[in-house]
Amino acid sequence: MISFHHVSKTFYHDSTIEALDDVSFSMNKGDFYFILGPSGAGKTTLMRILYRDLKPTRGQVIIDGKNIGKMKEKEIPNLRRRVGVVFQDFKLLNDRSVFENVAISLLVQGEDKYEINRRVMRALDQVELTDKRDMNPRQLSGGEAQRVSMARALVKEPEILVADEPTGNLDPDLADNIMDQFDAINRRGTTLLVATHDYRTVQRYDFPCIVLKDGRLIEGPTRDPDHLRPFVGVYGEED
Amino acid sequence: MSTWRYLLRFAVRNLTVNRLMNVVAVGTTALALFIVAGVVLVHQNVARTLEGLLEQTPVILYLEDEADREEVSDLQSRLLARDDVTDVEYRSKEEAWEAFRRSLRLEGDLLEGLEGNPLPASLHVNLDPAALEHVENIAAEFQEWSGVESVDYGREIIEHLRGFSNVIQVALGGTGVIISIVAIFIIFNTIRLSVISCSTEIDILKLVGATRWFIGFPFVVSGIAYGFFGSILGQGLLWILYWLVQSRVAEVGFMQLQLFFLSPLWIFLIICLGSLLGVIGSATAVRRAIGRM
Repeated sequence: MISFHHVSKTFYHDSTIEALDDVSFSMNKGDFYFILGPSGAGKTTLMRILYRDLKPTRGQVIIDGKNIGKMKEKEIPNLRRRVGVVFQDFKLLNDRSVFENVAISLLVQGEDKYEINRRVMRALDQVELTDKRDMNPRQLSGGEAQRVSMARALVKEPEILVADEPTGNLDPDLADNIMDQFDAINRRGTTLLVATHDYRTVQRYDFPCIVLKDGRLIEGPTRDPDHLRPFVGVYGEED
Repeated sequence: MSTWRYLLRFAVRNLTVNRLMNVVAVGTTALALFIVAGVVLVHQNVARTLEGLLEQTPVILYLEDEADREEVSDLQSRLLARDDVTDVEYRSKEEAWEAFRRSLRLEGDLLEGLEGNPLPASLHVNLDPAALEHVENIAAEFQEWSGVESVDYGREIIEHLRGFSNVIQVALGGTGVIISIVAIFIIFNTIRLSVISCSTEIDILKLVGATRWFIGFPFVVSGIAYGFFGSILGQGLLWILYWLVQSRVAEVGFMQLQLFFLSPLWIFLIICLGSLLGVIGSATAVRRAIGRM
């Protein structure tokens, strides 16, 4: 379903930064992969390429047989309707209600208000926030705000969900709760790619892991503890 | 909530942020359209005044002194046979002299020094209103006829009025174009600031799959609102000026000056022009400020 073939991304500013360097891996429909790596490893760049916020400098990213690097600009909105995105900083609109924040994903698709109401309530139910529908994001805890962000991604029923450090701002209990929600989403058939620098989170689940460092894929995808053990010290200690 | 309601709320929200810039955008558009509407108003009033003058002023064919009664009769017949002539009146040399005396309010003694009657006989021709537009060509044609010394159709008045109208139109039109460009630029900047102030929402919209059209629509609606309200305000100011002028300058010289305000069609067209300025300014700003998807 998703294939990265020798993907590189170079940023040219005052100096040249190789954010991704010759990264290759594949995922099948319904897979759940972690991307593990420290800050600056290239996790966010990889995610942004996946929803075409960035174009790869070299290599190909194929989703369902389509090279998204060659995609025309007018095709990008359709791709983004198939790919849900969750961020560490939630990216919620604080002057709108929880309901409105989630509904925005369907408004851009021109759904009618009955369909919007039905699907938003179902998405809020999935993240256990139906009772907070009229609240403002400022009135929510960090975990609740992240679940609103997840509901906004889920409401459009994406085939792929990418989450960039979704538990980065949360304490361990809330982080576990969010990860359990992702697990549940994956069990319903959505392909998931979660970036984290938290090895503790990776350890809790039995999902394959890709390890990035300085833009290079240095391990994986693997679940083999022998392969991941060297990184416990590297990333686990950072938390 | 529906998609359209969301988009309109977004547009209204744009109009409530950056209030000072909104006022400047509407004010500049109003000034530009005040001038553009003023050009149209001057043009329309001069055209109507000219038409009125031409309707009141006959084409006068001054006849050669040698023209005999039969020749004059032929000329009258030729004139009356034309579709563009409604009426022909013959005025003899004596009648012309009497009219001249009356117009100058002179007593007979003052003109006694003149030898004979220097004034020519004439034919006063009233044209069909539809033919007034071509009065210069018609007069030139009459001038070629045998027995006609010269032709007068109030050319000086028409040329003066046309010249005045042209100067006013070129000056105001040029100013109107410059201020319209300024208005587009100010709308462009106002919308650009709105786009920047909504950058978080725009980023989210892009991420959830909004098209460029969807993101840009509320800003273009805001631009149209600037143009719409600007054109209403500009034409409102012009109407106040028109009302002041009309009430104070009711009579100019020898003729009644009847002024007219813009027709409903022109008012509508200027509102459309204002909205177009808004579309141009806002669409350019959206295109540049939203950037790539």
